[in-house]
Amino acid sequence: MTEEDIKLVRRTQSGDLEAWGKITRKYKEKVFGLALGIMGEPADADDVVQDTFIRAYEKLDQFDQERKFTPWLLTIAGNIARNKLRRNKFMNPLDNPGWLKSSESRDPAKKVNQEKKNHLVRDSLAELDEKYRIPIVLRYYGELTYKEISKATDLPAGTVKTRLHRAKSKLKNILGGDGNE
Amino acid sequence: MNDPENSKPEKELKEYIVKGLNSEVEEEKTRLRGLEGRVLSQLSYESSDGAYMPSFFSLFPSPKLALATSLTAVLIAGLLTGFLIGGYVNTPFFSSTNGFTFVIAYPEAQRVELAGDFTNWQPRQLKKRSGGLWSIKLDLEPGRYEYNFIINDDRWVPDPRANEYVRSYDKLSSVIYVDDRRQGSGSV
Repeated sequence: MTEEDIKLVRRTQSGDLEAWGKITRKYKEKVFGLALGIMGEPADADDVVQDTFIRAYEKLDQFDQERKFTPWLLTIAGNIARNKLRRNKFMNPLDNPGWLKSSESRDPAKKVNQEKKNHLVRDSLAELDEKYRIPIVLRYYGELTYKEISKATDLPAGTVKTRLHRAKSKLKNILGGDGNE
Repeated sequence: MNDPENSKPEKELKEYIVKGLNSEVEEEKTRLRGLEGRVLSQLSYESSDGAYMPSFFSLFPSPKLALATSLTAVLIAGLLTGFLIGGYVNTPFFSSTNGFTFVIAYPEAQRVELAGDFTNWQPRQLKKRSGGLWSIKLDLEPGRYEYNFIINDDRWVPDPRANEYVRSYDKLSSVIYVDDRRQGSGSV
């Protein structure tokens, strides 16, 4: 976190919302990348980004300025994305690409879009079950520690470690690697 | 400590994910335009005093967009003033004997629609006005209605000037209350 960020956070904490707008502008792309890796759909990722900055603002008094800002923010984003995926699965089970990929091929709009753009990474991640996809995106893209992933996913650190190990192995298989465990 | 994540295959996997997602972020960058404004807008409505007024010039990527938004803000302020003078302090909507006009400022939108229980949640397209404003006039019977705006066929946006908001299906929906007085005799 730069000196300028610290000043912006302090300004926000003292009631200057405009400073939070500057923080949002600076970090929105990083949060969007993380959310896109987890959610798969840009519109869902967009929602996660918006909710993340609102939630982070509301929890800003809990942010310890001795800690790094990005992992704190991405832990919140990871938690929101995870909860949103769960709710999506509950509300719209047919829209969940993680466990019913064939639904995408039936949607002409999505098919055209897919033909236009080849989202290799997003597609590979979408093939992972969300219990593996979330930790691996948080670890590799978000560079979160096991403890932070544990906090974002409400899982014990040991479970996070195991899932990450399996996630890497599965992803390597998906990508055509040897999948050594 | 020998960290397996520093091994070559692990590093390659990490690089693959980071580079891939970053390039997809780049492709979708336009989607994030104006996000700061949306976040601040929502936060300011959630705050109890509602006194926050962001500096639009610092929130938009280009002076042109900032100017358009500022003009919109001025226009809305003017309309609201007229509204207050007309005695409609409790309603943020433009009503007339011919119905309600829903208005939203969204200069960067290509298309704006309105969907609510009064349209059976079928989108109705808004007309683009000057200064980045979009509007539609509808006849509404007195009652309580839930609705939202849809931006660019994609984004579900609550009305910043709704009477209240409810959360349904994980989305924030706008709520308006239409009464006889507002429906029958208001004017803009």
